[in-house]
Order: sequence, then C-alpha cells, then structure tokens
Amino acid sequence: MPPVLPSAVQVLAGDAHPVLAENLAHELMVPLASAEVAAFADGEIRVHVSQDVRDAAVFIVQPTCAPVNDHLMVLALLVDAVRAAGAARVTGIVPYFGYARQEQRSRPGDPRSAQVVSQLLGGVGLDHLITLDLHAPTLESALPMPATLLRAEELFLPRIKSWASRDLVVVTPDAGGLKRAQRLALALDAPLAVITKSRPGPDTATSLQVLGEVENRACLVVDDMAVPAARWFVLPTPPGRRGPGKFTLSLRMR
Amino acid sequence: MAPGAADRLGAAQFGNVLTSDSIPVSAERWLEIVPIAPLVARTVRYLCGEGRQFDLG
Repeated sequence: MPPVLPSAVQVLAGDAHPVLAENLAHELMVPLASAEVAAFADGEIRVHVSQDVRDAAVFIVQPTCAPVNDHLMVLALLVDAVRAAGAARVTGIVPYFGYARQEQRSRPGDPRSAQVVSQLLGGVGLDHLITLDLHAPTLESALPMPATLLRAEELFLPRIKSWASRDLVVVTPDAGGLKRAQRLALALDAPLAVITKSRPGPDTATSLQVLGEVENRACLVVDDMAVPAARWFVLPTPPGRRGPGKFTLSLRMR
Repeated sequence: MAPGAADRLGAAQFGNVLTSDSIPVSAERWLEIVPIAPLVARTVRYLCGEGRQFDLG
C-alpha cells in the first residue's frame, strides 16, 4: 500500500494529454482537476482553472508535443493561473519537452530555443520540472528551476528482458543517443553498435555506416523521437556480408 | 507522433516496436505501449514524501 499523499496535492490536466493526467491521478489516488482551454477568434489562447488550489502543491500534466507552441503556451498560462490563485508549489509534468533539440546554436544566427522555453516557464513561476529522457541532458544546467529527469529504460527494461532475445545488440541510430544506448547495453549485458549519419536538413537524416557487429544479430534500435522514423530501418550492410537479423525498436513517441 | 511516422514505423520490418505514452499515442497492432503514469506517480510520491523536496505545511 503506497503512502497517502498530503491532501494539498493536486493533479491538473492541461489539454495535451488528458489520459496521462487521468492515469496519474488514479495512481496517486487523488482527484483530477481539469482546466478549461479555449481560444479567441484570433487564435489567442485563454485558460481557466476553477479548482481551489490555494496552498496546494499543483502538478500540471502537459507534454509540449505537437502542436508544440500551443501546448507550451497553455502550460505557461496554467502555471501563471495557479500561481496567481495561491498555489504553494507548481510542478510541470512535461514528459515531452518541446524545443529540447535546440539547446545549442548550430550556426551563427540561431537562437538558443530550449533556453528560451526554460526561461519562459521559470518566468511564470514553475518551481519544478519532471520530464522523461530530456533530449539534450545538458539542458538541465540551463533550467532556472530544479528538474527531475526520468529515464525510459526504467519502463522498457523489464519488457525487453522478457523477450529473452539471444545475440542481442543495442543499436543507436546516431551518436547523440550513445549514452542512452550504453546504459541499456550495460543493463542487458549486450554489445553496442552505432549508426553514423549526416543531417542534410531538419527532420532528415542519411545513414552512412554501422560501427559495431550487427550481422545476424537481434538488433535493439533505441531512439527517443519518432520524427526521423524513416531512417531507423536503413541499416547498411557491408558488401559481401549478411545483414542484421530481427529488428526491435524501443523509443518514446513524440 | 510526427506526421507519417506511424505509417513508416508500421511498414518497417521491426519484430517489436516498444514505446511509452509520454504523448498521446494510438494503439496499433504492431505497437507495444508502456504506460509512464506509474513511474511519474512514484516520482510525485518521492517529491512529496517526508518533506524531501516540498514542505506542504
């Protein structure tokens, strides 16, 4: 029996993922509060929280997935709404943190978009952030509030182990996901392979070669975003060699 | 999910596709979805438990 939470804990659903908010409230055995989210004719978003949140610790569930800008704005407005209504603490449960891919400038003239989003949320009074597999973990140091970074492998490992695949190799589709894949490979006692690729443009990637042994092995391809899905299954096979065996994909949908 | 990603994943030659529900995701025959609510709930309990992070008075 899990410990009972203080009565001052409230879960508030934004408009991005009401099912997750409902499931969380069920797990926590607390009532779910929902916000009214609407838009004016010009597209301006308006929100309203009718629940009494004074002196409460409010957990707002709002992944900033597509449409990213709308969901981000709703989150910012909800934080301000509950802050203005007297909430004691406001935590954002943002398992998908939009703009996290743009945490550094790739060329002169680019903004630091992830930092802009972080400052927006800090500016409206977000006290704490809970997110899942932050695309660029280094972004944590730029967040103006404490963050809890959850890892998807905690969820996936029991399932993957239950498959009991032999000759498993963990494959990361790009070098940026190396540490994530390394952790998984270590936990599974499996070797690691890396696909090197180039990015000719946003949301596009070209596979170049595989570093590591994948021939006739069960490949566990690990990625955190579904945007470039077109390239996951393009594992180049060296001339004169057999290709990889069965593929398995483990990822977070975004 | 990005436009077209589900179609590409469904058409790919994966033996299994495992994902979480960190964003809304439609159930598909070829997709195994692991809920994140239990993990998030454990985190909320941890943050609220024994005054580790939050002092709720």
